[in-house]
Amino acid sequence: MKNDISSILEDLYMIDPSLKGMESDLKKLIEKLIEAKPDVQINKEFVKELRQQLMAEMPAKQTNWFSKYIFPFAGGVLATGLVITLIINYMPGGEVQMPMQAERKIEMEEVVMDDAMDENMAIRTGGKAPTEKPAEEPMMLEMATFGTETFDAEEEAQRVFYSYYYGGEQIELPEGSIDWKEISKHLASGVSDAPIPRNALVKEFEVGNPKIIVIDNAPYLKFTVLPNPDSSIYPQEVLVPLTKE
Amino acid sequence: MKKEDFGKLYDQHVKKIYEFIYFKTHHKETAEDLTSNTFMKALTNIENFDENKASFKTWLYTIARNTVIDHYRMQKETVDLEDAWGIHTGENIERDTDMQMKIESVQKYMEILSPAQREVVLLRVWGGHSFAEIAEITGKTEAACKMSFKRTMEKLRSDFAPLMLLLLLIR
Repeated sequence: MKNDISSILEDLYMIDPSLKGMESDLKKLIEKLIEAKPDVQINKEFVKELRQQLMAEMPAKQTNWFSKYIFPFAGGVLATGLVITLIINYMPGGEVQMPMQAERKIEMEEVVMDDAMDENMAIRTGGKAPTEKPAEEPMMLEMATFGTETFDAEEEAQRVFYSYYYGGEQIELPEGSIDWKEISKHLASGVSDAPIPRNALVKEFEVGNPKIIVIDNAPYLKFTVLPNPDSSIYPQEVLVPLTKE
Repeated sequence: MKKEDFGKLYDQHVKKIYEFIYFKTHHKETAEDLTSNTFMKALTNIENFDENKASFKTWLYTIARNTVIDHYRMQKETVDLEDAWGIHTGENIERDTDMQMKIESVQKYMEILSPAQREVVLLRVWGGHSFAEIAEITGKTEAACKMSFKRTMEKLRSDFAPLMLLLLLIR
């Protein structure tokens, strides 16, 4: 206790040297304050139990730490992937990305009139109706892409614009589970054939690489569903039927 | 931080943290609850601990101090209360019976001090902390802590005679 009193007095004199004149009173005061200190005894059982509880909590807390960093990191990777995809799609010469919305009109450039096209469609374009139809094979031919082709003057003069819109029912999107590694991989490749587990609800998505294709003489919008970082779906190609205006 | 490292730090500090909390609560069960809360908070926030800013010891005391303040503020929402010393003896407060006489007699003098002055006395005289550590724990400057301690000692000295009498009575 003597050491305690001396060190406290030294502190006081360093703060205010004039206090040395009151040393006797201060010494007694400090002594009495130290004597008044409650003699605290900690319960050893409590110390042991709390230690066990903390050690049991430790792995869970470490998992939280892991989760705290891995999800933002994975989200960042996905966001970067999406941004890169969007930049590529919006670059001059790249394909125009169309947001998929019911009732939204889609301006389509006719680039190639395929034999597989509907005859009526051909008439509306003012083009030549197909003379023969290849009836024997299933018709799933890519018809056009958006703004990516180079046209010569003659083709330019023949270009006709169609308006299509999606008038179908609300599209049911596939449900999927989170697998960040897989999603990142498929985002990089742009297309996925991966099976989609159905145990989570998809709420939001982006579309990429839209194309018009014709199946059995009917036009469809074909696009790739790209997951948002917080959704849970693999990239997947989707077909929606289009109706001519 | 590894499990065994946190275990070592716990072993090293649990008694002092409990003691610090007990000085402020005067009640064994409350001190145990708040000690548990303190170490749980430390474990949860261990990744936020920056050894360049403070030592683990003072970081732990800071958590303990805030835990006690939160405890009393939740109990007494309308009063600026930071520890059990601020509760008058006549009020309903849980205190350990074996400590009650001693604490209540000293309390008459602790009561006249501000919570900040009491804290400096508790930390310096009872806790044996340096002013640098007190500054880290309370979030004040070392100079402010020293000045507060000096004024507290002067104030107590002016009431020294009656305090002496009371302290002699409770011994």
